[in-house]
Amino acid sequence: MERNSLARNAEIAYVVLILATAGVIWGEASALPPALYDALGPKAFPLGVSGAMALLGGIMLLRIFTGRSLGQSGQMMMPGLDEPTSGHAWRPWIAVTVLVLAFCYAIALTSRSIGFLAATAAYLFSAGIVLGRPGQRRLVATAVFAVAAAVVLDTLFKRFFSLDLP
Amino acid sequence: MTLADAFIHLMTPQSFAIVAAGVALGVSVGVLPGITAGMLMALTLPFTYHMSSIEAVSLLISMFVGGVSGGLITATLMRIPGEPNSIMTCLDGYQLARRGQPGRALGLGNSSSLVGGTVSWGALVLLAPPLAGIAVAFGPFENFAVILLALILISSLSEGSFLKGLSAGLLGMLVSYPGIDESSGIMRLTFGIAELEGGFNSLPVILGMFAVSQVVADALNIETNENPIQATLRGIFISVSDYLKHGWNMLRSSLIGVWIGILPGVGATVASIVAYTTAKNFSRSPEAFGGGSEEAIVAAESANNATTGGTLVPILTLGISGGLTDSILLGALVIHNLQPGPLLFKNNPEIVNTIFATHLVAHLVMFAFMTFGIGLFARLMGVPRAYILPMIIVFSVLGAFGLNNRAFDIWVMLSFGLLGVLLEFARVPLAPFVVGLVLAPVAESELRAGLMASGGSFMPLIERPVSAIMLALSACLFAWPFVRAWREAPASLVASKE
Repeated sequence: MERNSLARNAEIAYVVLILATAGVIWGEASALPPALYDALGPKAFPLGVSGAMALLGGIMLLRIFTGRSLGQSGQMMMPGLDEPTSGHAWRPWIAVTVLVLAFCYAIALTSRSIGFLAATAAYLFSAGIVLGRPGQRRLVATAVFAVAAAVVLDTLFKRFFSLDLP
Repeated sequence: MTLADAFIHLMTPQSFAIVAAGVALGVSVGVLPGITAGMLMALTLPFTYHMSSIEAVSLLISMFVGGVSGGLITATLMRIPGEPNSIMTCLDGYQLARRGQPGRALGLGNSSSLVGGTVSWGALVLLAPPLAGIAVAFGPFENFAVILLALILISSLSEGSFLKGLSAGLLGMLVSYPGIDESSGIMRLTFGIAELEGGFNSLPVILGMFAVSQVVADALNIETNENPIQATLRGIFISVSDYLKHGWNMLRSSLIGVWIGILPGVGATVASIVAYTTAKNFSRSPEAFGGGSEEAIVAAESANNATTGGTLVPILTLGISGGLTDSILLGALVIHNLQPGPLLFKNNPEIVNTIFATHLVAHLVMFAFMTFGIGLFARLMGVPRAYILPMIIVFSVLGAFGLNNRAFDIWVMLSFGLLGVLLEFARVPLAPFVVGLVLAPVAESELRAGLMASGGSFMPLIERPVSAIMLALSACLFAWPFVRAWREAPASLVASKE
């Protein structure tokens, strides 16, 4: 997917998210009881903010469909999202894999069946392999790093910080 | 014990070692995303039972100072706020480091932190009681007006994408609403999810928005340069001319930090945002902000360190705290049978003076530590991302989980990570989201408390001088970017015709 069309699709997804969130919050807030102790009550702010958000979402949607720009933050800090930059490789599937691995890691931890040590070592190894360059030496180095880091973290947080790790 | 005695006491080997250890630990956790100084202090509290009150207070204050300062390193080298208050440093510190000047970026940040800390120490020692008196004299309408002022800055932050910035700010506000409504005790916007009854904790949300989105973005568009940016230490020692050049910015941002630090519930994150935006609005080259501006780094780092002194003012003089870290400090005093508030000055002047002295000494130790030890941290740039990025996820998971020992917070963190990725792709600024998230609950509770007191009348907002001035200032700051754009438009038209 071209980067410009990706950004445009992301803008549309963002506007849809804004409108959907505003709608859901408006619906939920409307069902709240009226104010008992003060002039505003528990639903005034959620209703007001979701209403304003819906208005902004509508304006943004209108601008998108009429082909007008929504503007672009002057503070986007991520290089290369708009156009290719030298010294960077565009690797969408690796990014998706990294995200999937993070969720797998969270599942492994929250299920509490594997344990922090094994789950962390496995995650660091798999993510390191996905992100790193291929090669047998790299494979061994990543494995050593993954096991060592997991052991150090496990010891540090269990023994020194007495944290009940997942 | 006088203040001079307290300084002398801190120079004894054991006391100095406690301060140095506290700063070192604070900076270390400040560097690690997701592990905050507040968490470190909470974990350390049980160990302070075995210490004297003076030693315990010294250790915790040193951790507090180190934690606020350490976030600079991660923000500059990795564009991830090690501490939430380093958000604004991410914007320009990272860009300057990417341009091959990590030493310069870190040196400016470190020096600004020292100046901010020193100015706030002066405020703490000399102005604490009267300043606290003024802040406490504020009613809810004044507090609401102050918060509104900060919220209005969202539009300034998102200059160039007003719609996106404002909508992100509103989205952040909505995220803050689920849970128990403090004014009425009614549960709202929980959608039947039991874990939402306590609301979203801001730490997992911020970790997800910044850390996870950064990891995904780096994985997506990873550097392939065979020779990664060399972390040079050139520029880490700031010259006198640099201090002169940035002196006014440092002082102004420090004063902003001190003042916002005093206000309960606002804190260092907002201080750095306000100082950053103020510096941008007054800058001769505002277009450089976001692209590695030195002014921006100076403003953000002066302000967030300056809040450390300001934050201590209401704790010491009134016994009230405004945030998580302050609350832990407050709790530590109570645990050690000390009564925070005006009586502390009367009954335990040695504790007050120890806090005053530690605050300054910890900043000096922090400066030395981060100047001479920063070279080691700077080498993080050379460590393969294949090792760093997964470690960031692990620390973020630990940070989110460790807060309440809840698996739910891990999912919150990852979910908001996905949202952060979407926002980055859609070129929506993340900072307004965080501002909305942090300030919305305070704004609501203050306005509702004010309306209860006024019988439902909004008139005090414009009748009371302080709130009226704040509202007027809000209006001016809101209009300022438009006015500047309008003033610049004719010039650009002439340029395009030529």
